[in-house]
Amino acid sequence: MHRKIKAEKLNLIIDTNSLNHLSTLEFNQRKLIKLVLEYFNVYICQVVFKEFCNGIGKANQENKTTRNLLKKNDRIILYPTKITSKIEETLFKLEYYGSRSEKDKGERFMVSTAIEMVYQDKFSQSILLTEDQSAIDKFLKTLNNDFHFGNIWKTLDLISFLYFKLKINDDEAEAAIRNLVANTSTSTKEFRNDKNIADYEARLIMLNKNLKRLKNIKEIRSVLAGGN
Amino acid sequence: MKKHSDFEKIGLRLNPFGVKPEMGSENLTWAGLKKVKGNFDSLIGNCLKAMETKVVLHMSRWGGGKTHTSFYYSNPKNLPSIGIDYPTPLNLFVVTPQEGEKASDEFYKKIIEGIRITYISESINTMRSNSENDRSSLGEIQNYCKSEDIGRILWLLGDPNPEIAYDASELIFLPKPTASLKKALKVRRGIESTSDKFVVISTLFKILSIYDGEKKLDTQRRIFLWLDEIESLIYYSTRYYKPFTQALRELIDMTPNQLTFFLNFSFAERDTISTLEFIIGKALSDRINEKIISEELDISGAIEYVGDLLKFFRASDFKETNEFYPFNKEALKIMFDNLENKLKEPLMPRIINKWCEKIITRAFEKSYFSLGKEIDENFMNQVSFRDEAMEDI
Repeated sequence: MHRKIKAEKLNLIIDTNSLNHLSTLEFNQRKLIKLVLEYFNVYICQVVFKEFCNGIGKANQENKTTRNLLKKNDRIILYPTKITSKIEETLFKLEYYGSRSEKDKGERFMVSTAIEMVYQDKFSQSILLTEDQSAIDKFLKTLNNDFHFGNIWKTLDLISFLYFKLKINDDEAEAAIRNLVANTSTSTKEFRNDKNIADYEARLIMLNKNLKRLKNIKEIRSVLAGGN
Repeated sequence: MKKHSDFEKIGLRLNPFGVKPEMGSENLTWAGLKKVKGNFDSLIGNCLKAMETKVVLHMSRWGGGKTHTSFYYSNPKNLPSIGIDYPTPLNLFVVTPQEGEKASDEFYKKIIEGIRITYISESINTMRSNSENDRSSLGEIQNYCKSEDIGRILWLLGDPNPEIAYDASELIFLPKPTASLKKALKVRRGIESTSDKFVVISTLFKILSIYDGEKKLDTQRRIFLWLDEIESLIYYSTRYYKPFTQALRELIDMTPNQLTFFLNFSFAERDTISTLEFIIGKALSDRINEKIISEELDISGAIEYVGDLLKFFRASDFKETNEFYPFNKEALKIMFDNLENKLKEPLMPRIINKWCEKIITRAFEKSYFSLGKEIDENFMNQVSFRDEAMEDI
């Protein structure tokens, strides 16, 4: 047993789509965003927060609750510093992203912030939580390979992590996976393997892989629960 | 797609490779896939002899012929011979609703519309006229559905007075009928909840297995309910899939006899079959009695499939001795080998149809047939097997 070692809270920088998921998914009848706020150091780039707030429709009570929750804690919203903007601009010059489209703005500022924070020792590592597979493929993965700021997760990864760490029960984890797979805004790109397959087929593969992952985690959880 | 007249030029009555199956079409045949047909013939034969309700899961990859199978066996001419006479089954074909939120309502509506209100009215009327007295049939229906009001609404559907029957039919789709309508029909409520709707369906199945629009049947008939594309349940969030699958299970449990409920499921990769129980939920998967998998074909199976199709669609005055004309057998082998090994496409009927049609179309464009040729190895070797592009042919 490694007695003196204690984990720090992980730093999670969240993108708009993921924030939408965290606002609607539930564990133990509690919104996932509340659990995440407890368990992680949560950060939202101002650009992302603005995008999230602008996207809230009149009827979307769940996202309104999240907005109010995030507003209460001003430590969460990260405003871009001059350095952040400079990093974002330089990464463009270095041709990490082909264009600076409005669509990728959130991800560009998230990754610039992560690089800045890790360099300044404010974060040891950071996790970018995003559902945007095309941004991941276009530049996020390459930037992480070059700057090692931490990790890139999707909400499905977050669910498996919470299942592993917080011992969330099987039904709750499976329900969260079902709801994410059922949600048409969850990208299936990663599971298409360049094949011309139907959307539901990609979702079946996605579901299959995530259920298998839960099964494996369950095995390891039982080893950890029983072992010294 | 080529015109019919073009297919006539190559000795075919119609395009054998028309991709979409059509319900009730006389041009729907069974080709190849002998093992699957054997399984279905035996299963359906057993169902026609037995009383008990059966739930059958039919699985294949996309384009494996599940919908086609449903339509094929919906035609009484295609049912297997079982050595005894039996009444023609009542066939109902429903596609799984795409939206989970209203799935139960939509399913109910499709079932009622599939049977047709007029036919329901006529059959209940037959039931009433065959009963010792009119009131006993009311009691019988109320006993079937364990509800005084739902039983009365269904009984009134068969009323000899068409206006009363029409008013009762309104209640079938009205969750909150007006007070005056309720008073006129002497019922306290309409068909309100999901549970009420499935009680209606189950009661109708019981009645329609004994009566049709004209007479009491000599022996009970089977109800074949085909639910297509159940993989769409993957788009249902937890909130919606549970009530829908539990309602389907209730329907099965409330209908212990005469129902054969076919569930058509398309899987992606082979190992995604294991997620099936998760997708349709334990409530429903626990009720499955039989599973039939339509496997992908091997090259000889694919050749047999194409041969059977061509034979069925062959024009009577066709003189050619090559049974695979407009292809030759070697050319088909080359095509299937390319689909399997180059395009990595599973050899399923839909894929085979798509490529056969594409290649015939291209041969027409090259005026190949007018030169008296058939699609041979030389032609096929010039085809660049890429997913969509065939410009190199």
